[in-house]
Amino acid sequence: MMMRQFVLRLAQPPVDAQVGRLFAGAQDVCVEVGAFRRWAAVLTDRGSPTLASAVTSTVRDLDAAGLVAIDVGPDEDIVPVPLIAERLGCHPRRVRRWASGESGRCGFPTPVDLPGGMAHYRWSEVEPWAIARLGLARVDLMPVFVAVNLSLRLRMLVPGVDGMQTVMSLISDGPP
Amino acid sequence: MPTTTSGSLSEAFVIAARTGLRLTHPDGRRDWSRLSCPACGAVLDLPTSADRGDGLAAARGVRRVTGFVFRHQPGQVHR
Repeated sequence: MMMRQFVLRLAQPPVDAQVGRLFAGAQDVCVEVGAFRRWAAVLTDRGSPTLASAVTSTVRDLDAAGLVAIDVGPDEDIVPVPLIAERLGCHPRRVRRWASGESGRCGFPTPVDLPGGMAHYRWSEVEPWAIARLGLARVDLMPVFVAVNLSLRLRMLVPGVDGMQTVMSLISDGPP
Repeated sequence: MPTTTSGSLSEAFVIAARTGLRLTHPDGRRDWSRLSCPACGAVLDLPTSADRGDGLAAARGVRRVTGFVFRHQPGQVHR
């Protein structure tokens, strides 16, 4: 069971009743509304065998709360040392040694400007370093996100499409 | 820029409040915390029962709060 982290954008900012219903059914999500209420998103940290199952179950949670997901994408970039360690499959102590240069793994990204306390980094900088220096397997999650996003768009189109089941057979039956 | 020293969710909220973000509990529910930015109205809602339970859940909450604080520092341009 791996931790799956991603962001689902909402069609519109939720009202309190919807957020309350969401939290009643899911404790592994947060809701963020952007500056001047221009966007809204649900940030998820869900243990699941696959990313697809984690995203799908979260979309169901949003459905139950009366929230409409319009797309899904990778998690936010800011990551603390314990999460880096979790993603790299090592102890946080090792990450701190890399960051300080103690263990010789030079070139570790510089932390985000956070004086003292728990250091934070950008995953978009740590991941390429880990792929190059540690041989971390390059995992391409984009096909899952693309497939889910197409499904989310399809869900919105369904009411207006006559013969939708015939269209869906292209997926269920696959190419010859 | 704020961060947490011990990694507790409660401490993250204290630091967030010190940066000018407002901390509330919608409908008086203590299991639900809301950080809001008075400058741009941005909001982060998260279930906070985790702060009294699963340490891993609290750590995830700390990251969410830290990310939100990072995006809403005092004096930052809000878009």
